[in-house]
Amino acid sequence: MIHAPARPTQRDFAAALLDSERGVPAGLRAWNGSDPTQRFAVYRNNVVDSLVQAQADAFPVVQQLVGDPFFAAMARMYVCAHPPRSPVLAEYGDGFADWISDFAPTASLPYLADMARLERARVRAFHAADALALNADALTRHLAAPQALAQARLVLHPSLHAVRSDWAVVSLWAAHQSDDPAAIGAVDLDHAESALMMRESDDAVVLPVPLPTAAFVQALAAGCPLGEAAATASVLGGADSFDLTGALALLIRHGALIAWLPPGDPA
Amino acid sequence: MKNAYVSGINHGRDPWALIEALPADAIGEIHLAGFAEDRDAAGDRLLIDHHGSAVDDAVWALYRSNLARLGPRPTLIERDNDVPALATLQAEAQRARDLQSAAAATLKAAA
Repeated sequence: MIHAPARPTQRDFAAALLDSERGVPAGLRAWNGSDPTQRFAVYRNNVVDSLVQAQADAFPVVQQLVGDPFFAAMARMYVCAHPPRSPVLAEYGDGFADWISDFAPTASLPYLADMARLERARVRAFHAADALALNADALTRHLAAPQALAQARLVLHPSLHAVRSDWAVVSLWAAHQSDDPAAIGAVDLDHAESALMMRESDDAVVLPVPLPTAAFVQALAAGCPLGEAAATASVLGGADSFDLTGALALLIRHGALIAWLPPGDPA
Repeated sequence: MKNAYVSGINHGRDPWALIEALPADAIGEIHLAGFAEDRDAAGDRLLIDHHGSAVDDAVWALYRSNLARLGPRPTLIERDNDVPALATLQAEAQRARDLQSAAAATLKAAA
């Protein structure tokens, strides 16, 4: 009786690439009869290292905060547990911040996950689609009809993202962009900060904003009408009251409004 | 072109035979790239597709042979890691253009 040799399936092969404890899939052989373990190790390293490097490129400040060896080990755990679902590496990394927030070894850096959120939002802003901002004529026309403002829906530029943190991650991020080595130590981390990110002139800019402005943008992005978004922002603002005019002016100045849907229009 | 070379070496096959087996009219564009080099457990060459170095002379030789077979084709040189100075990349692109021009001239003379 003849038994066919065991053939590794693609599933076994792919799983073993990401799990070094699984060993080499059964049935592998090389053209020259050499032990496939060495060849498989090269394959495995190539896959995992390229993904770890992609994370390092996308989260440079997180990497600086924990140091290169720690980051490499941490990112390796993440990529093996959560490999990309898209072949486009720019789309990889959405889950890294949440994963970091549950990662016990970084519990002493409670702001680390928010830094990852900020850096991820920046990458998403950078790669978002282009869109034309509303021109001054259109804006003037909409603002001239105050009775319709509260129910209007503002469509935001696809690159616009808001990040809110209980920690001063916006200042810390900015300090890491500075050439001054004293800048990082000078950041007082223990206060909340928020920022908007969007692409301008082929660069992803980070705009520090008050918390209510970030909340306003998040509410608009979720599809809330203007009046409801402003109310949400005011409630969150507390003592730091919400400046609706200033927030709208900021969005207009940065070309962040791309459509203004009157009441009744489906969003 | 580079994948044919890397796969051929890594699996003990003739890279040119892999390329020659492809139908000429199905080839719309040719990709070139560098590879890293390692050894397997038997000490044989093990090539790693990393897009992080100059196109190897062996790949340029395959490219030249393929242009002689096909005529000029749009060509992409891939370099995703350790990207060097622009002048280095431009020189590499120029080498591809020179080989295309030479192939076109040879085909024209033969026609």
